[in-house]
Amino acid sequence: MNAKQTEPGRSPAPTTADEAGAPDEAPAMGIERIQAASVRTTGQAARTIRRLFDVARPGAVFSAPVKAGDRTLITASEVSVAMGIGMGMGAGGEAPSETGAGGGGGGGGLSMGRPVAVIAVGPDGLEVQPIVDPTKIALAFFTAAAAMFLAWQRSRAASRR
Amino acid sequence: MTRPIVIETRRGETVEVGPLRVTPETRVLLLRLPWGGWVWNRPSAVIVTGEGPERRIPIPDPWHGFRTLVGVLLALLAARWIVAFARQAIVIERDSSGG
Repeated sequence: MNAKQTEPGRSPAPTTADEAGAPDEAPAMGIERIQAASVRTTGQAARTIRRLFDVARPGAVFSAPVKAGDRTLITASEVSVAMGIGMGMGAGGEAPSETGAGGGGGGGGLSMGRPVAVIAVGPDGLEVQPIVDPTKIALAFFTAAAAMFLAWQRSRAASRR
Repeated sequence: MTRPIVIETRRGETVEVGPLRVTPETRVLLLRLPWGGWVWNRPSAVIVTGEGPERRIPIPDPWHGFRTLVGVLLALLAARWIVAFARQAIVIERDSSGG
């Protein structure tokens, strides 16, 4: 059975970059195409990284004021964003007629946001109300205590040997 | 020239709420790497003007304090662990060399 069956009247879509190119294209053209794509991708990556540093603005931490009855509320949150991008390309071949080129890239990121406090401005002045999550603190306390106890026991055992 | 590591206090745009003028203040830690980076931004205080002298009202963050305390304790434990293992390695080496 033909795996590349297509609908009538439609040409099969190219599946890889090699299939998309002309069949008799010189290998050097492939390298040039990869270099051009690499330049485009590098530009996009640089723009994305620049946008990462927008998080450093105070506007990313404090919300716009919201009216609630006779009070105006502003939320303050902690924001943390990390990102990394990597790229690589290469070309080579064994015989003079056999050349090849390839490139690849990848990236990853992490973002975290947590409400810290609510700033309330009312007729009686300004008030800062911290937002505390007791469940989170209790869970973190017991996890940290268990980790510290285990580490302390192992270091004691190591110093006794 | 942009610095690779930035730790600073930044002030945002002042917001007028009734008679008060509120200016947010944040602490920023910024790490620039060739192909990435890390930004940590947390609120530290609000500066209030309008009624009387300028006041700086800090934003309390119990979670931040707890996290810092746990971090310091874990770092001390890790240091103790490394020292204990290093001592053990020295003793084993001394014994195996017949000292």
